[in-house]
Amino acid sequence: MSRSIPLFDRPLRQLLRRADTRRSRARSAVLTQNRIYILPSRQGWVFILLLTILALIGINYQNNLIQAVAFLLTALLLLSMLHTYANLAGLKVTALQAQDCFVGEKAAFELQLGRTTRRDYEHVELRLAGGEPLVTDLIDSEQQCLRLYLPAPRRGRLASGPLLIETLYPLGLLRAWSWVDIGLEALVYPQPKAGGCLPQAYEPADEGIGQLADGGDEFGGFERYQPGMPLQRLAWKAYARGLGIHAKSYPAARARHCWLDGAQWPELSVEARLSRLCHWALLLERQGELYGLRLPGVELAPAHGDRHRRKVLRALALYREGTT
Amino acid sequence: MNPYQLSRPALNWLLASIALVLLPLIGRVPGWLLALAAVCIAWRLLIHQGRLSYPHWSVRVLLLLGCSAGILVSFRGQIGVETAVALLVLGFLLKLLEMYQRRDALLVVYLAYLVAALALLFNQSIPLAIYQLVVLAVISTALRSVYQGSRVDGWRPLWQVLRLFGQALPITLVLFLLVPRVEPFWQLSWQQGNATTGLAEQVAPGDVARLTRSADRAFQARFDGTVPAQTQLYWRAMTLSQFDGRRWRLADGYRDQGTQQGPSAVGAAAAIERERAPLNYELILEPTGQRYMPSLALPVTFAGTLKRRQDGTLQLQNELLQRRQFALGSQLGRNLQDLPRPQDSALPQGSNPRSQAYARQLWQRSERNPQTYLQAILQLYHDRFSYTLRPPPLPGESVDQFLFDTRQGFCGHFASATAVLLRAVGIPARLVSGYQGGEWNPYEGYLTVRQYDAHAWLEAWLPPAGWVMVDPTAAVAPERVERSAEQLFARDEQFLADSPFSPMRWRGEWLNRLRMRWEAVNYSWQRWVLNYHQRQSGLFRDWLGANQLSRAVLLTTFLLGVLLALVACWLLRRNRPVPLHPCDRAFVRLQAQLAKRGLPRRPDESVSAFCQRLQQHYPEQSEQWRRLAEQYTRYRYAGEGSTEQLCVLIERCRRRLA
Repeated sequence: MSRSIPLFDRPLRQLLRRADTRRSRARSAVLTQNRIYILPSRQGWVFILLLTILALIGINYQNNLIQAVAFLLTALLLLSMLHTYANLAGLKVTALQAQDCFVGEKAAFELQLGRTTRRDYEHVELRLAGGEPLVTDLIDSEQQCLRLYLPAPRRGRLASGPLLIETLYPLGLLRAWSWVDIGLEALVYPQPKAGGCLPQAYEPADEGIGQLADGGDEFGGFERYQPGMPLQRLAWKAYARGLGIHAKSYPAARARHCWLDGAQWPELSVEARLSRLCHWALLLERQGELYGLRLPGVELAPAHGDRHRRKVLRALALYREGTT
Repeated sequence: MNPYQLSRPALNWLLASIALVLLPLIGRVPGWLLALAAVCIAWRLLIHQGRLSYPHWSVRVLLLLGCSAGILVSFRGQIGVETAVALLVLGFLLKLLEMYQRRDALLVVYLAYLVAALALLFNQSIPLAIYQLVVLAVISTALRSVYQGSRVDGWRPLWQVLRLFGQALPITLVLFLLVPRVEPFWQLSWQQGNATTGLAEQVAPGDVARLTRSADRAFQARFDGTVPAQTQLYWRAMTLSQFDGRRWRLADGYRDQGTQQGPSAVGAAAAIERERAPLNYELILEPTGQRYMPSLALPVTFAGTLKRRQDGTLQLQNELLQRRQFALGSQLGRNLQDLPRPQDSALPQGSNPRSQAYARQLWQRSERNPQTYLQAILQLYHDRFSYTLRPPPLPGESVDQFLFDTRQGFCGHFASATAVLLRAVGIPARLVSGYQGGEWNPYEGYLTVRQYDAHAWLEAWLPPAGWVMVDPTAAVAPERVERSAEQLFARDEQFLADSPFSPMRWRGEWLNRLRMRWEAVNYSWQRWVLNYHQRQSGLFRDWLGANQLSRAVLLTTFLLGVLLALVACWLLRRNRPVPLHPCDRAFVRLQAQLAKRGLPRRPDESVSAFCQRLQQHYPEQSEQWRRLAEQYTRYRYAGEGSTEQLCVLIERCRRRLA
C-alpha cells in the first residue's frame, strides 16, 4: 500500500509497519464454523474401507451381528464428525510476539491458545507452514502459551505465515482444520562468524568522558546493578555476602569505543561481512565495550547495552533487505 | 517427544485388546498360534520396558514365512474362513513386533476390529455378542489412546469411548432396524468345516438310535394359530425308497428328478391345497451341511430357495451351512398322492427269505386285504416285540434277524421290517426319515426339536387313500409318540451319552424352568436379531406400507438427523462463555476505561505487570496501583482477603480515573 505513495516513503512505511505489527500483536481469532473444515483423514478412509469389507462379509454370510458391528462402527464415524468439529470450535488463538534469531537457528512465535467455551479441548495440533507440529490440550486450564518455531534460513524478516490448527480427536478418523493468519514477524540476524581482526578504529573518546575514564583497565569500585549489565561484571562475592547485587565498574572500559564498519573486509561478500560484523557486535557487547555501527545509509552512534545491541542487530538484519 | 510415538497407555490398551480379541478364537485357530500370541505380547511388553529389543528383520521374515506355512499345514491346505482368520491373527501378531509408531498401531487396531467381527461367524450366541461389544469398546479405547494428546492418562480414553458408545448405540439400532438388507448377489461360500449331527441320506438298522446320544438342537418351530398335537408332529425330512436288503437310501437320481419349485402343487394335491387353509409355521433350522428340510405333511407354501420333491419333502438349493429361518405352510391331515415308482416296491432278490415267506403267509391269512394285513403286522409288534434304545446288533439278514430272533429294536428297525413285509406282497412302501414331536417352550411359545427326536416311520401306498403314514413304533411303544423322547428315555444311560454336560440332563424342576427361560431368550435372539434380515421386509410392510424402500431411507435419515442433533446439542451445551469472576469483571471494566485512555493491557501481560506499567504512567497514583497489584495477587493466588474488598478497590481505581 505504501508503494502508491512515493513521497515520504520510508517514514510512512515505517509508521505503517509499526501500526501493522501492533495490530498483529493483538490479533486473535476465534474458530467458528465458517473457518473450520472437516474431512476424513487417511486413516479414516482406511476405516471406511474396513466398514465396507465388514458390510460385505455380513451380507455374504447373511450374518446380522457382523452387520451390526459395521453399523456400530458407522455410528462411531458419524459421531466423530461432531466430536472432531467440537474439538476446534470455540478455540481462540491470540498472536503474542515473535522472537528474533540468527540465521540457521529457529525463530520462535509465541501464541496464546484460549477457549471461549467451557468444553475441554484435546489433542489439538498447531503447525506453522514449514514448521514442526505441536500437540497440546486445554483440559483444565483456560489458556496456554505456546511457542512455535520456524527455521530461519535467510537474513531479514521472517513472517510466521498462516497457522494451521488441526485435530484428529477422538478416534483419528476425521481431520478438522483451520488456517489462521497470525501475522507475526521475526527478525533474522546474520549468522555470527568469527574472523578478521578486531577493527582498528580505536578513537579517543570525548575529553569529558576521558577524564572520567581515568584508570584504564583497573577496577573502579562498585555501582548499582541495572538489568542488562554483563554478567561478568557482577560482584558475585559481594552478592554471596548478602550485600545485594552490585556490578564492578571498570571506567576505562567505557573510555574506548570502536566502530563496526560495513566497508571493512571488501574482499568478502555482503552476507559474510554482515556475519563478521554481527560476531564482533556480540563480542564487544559481551565484553562491555562501546561500539557503533556504520553501514551505507545507517549509522548508529557508539553505545552499549541491550537496547543498543538490539538496534545494531536489527540494522544488520534489515540491511538492504528489499534488494535480495 | 515425537507426537507420533506410542504412549504407554496406548500400548497397554492395544495389548489388552489383542488378548481379548483372541480369546473367543480358542479352538478355531491352531493352538500354537495362541501360544505365539502370548509370546508376542510378552515380547512387546519387554521391549517397552527396555529389556529386549525389536527382533531383527530377518527374524520377522522367518517368523512370517514359517507361521504362514504352519497355518496352511494346520488347516491341511484348505482355504476357509478359519484359515483367513488365522492368517489375519498372524499378521497383527507379527505387526506387534515392529510397531514403532502410530501408523503401525493403527494397522493393528483395524485388524483387531476385523478379527473381532469375524469371530461372530463362528458363534452368534448372546454371551459372545455381549463380549464382542466389550471387545469393540476396548479396541476403540486403544484407538482413542493412540490419539491422546500431550496429557497421557490410562483410564480417561476408556470413559471417553464409553460415552461415545453410549451415543453410538441408538444410532446403531436405527441403522440395524432400518437399513434395508440385501440378499448376497454373489456367492462366496467358504466351508465353515464343522461336522454337524443330523439325519443321513441312508439308514441302516440302529442308525437312528445313535442320534439319541445327542441333545443338539435340530430346529425350532413356531406356529401361527393352534399347535398340532404331539402325535401329529411328524417332521418329514427324506423318504428312502432304495433298499439293498440292509440299508435304505435316497433313490438314485432322486435329488434332481421330479422336483418342482414354488408353491404350485402335485397333480391331485392341487385340489387339496385349495380346500383348506394351510397351517403356517416358521422354522429355524440348525446347519446340517445337507440339503434336507423337515416339514409337516404336505408343504404348500415355502420360500423360493426351497424346492418340493415329488414325495412332498422339501429340499434346499444348497447345503445348509448356517442357521436359517424359513416360513412354511403345510396342508395337514391329507395323504400324499404322488404315484409310486418301481423302486418303491422293489426288494433285492433272495434277501431276508424268512421275512418274505412269513409275509406271504400273513397276506393269505389277511385275505389279501392291505388294511387287515397292516393291522396284523402292527398287532404282532404290539404283542411280541419290545422297544429299546440299545438294540442288539444285526450282522446278517437284518430284517430276518430282527423279526424272528432278537425282536427288540428302535424305530428304524420297526419301520424297515414293516416296509419289507409290505413290499414282499407287492404293496409299495417307503421309509421316511425325520423327527417326531419336540419340546414345547411355554415362555416364548415355540417347539424345540433335538437330534434325539430323530425318528423313522414309513408310508404305504394304499389306493385310493394314497400314501398312508404308518408308524409301527406307535404300536409297540405308544408313549414314544405321545410324550417327548426326553421324558421317555431320561433314565436310559445311552440317552445323551455324547452330551455329558448338556443342560438337558438337568432334572430338577427349578433348573428345568431356568433352562427353558434361557432357551426362550435365545430363541427370541435368534428370531429378532440373528434372522432379522428375514423379518425386515415383513416389518417394513407393517410399519411403512407401500413405497417401503424410499420411506425406509427417509425415516433412517430423519432419525439419524434427530439423534445426531441431540448429540450435537449435548456436545455444544457448554458453548456458553465462561462467566468471569466478579473481581475479573470489575478489572475488565477498569481495563476498558484505561484502553480508552490509550493504555490497553497487552494480551501477554499479567495483572501485576500491567499495574507496574500503570505505576510508571501515573506516578502520582503509584501507591494505589501497587496496592491493587498486591491485593489482586494475594486474593487470586494466596486466597487472602475478600472478594468485596478487592472489588471495591478496583472500583475506586476506576472512579479515580474518570
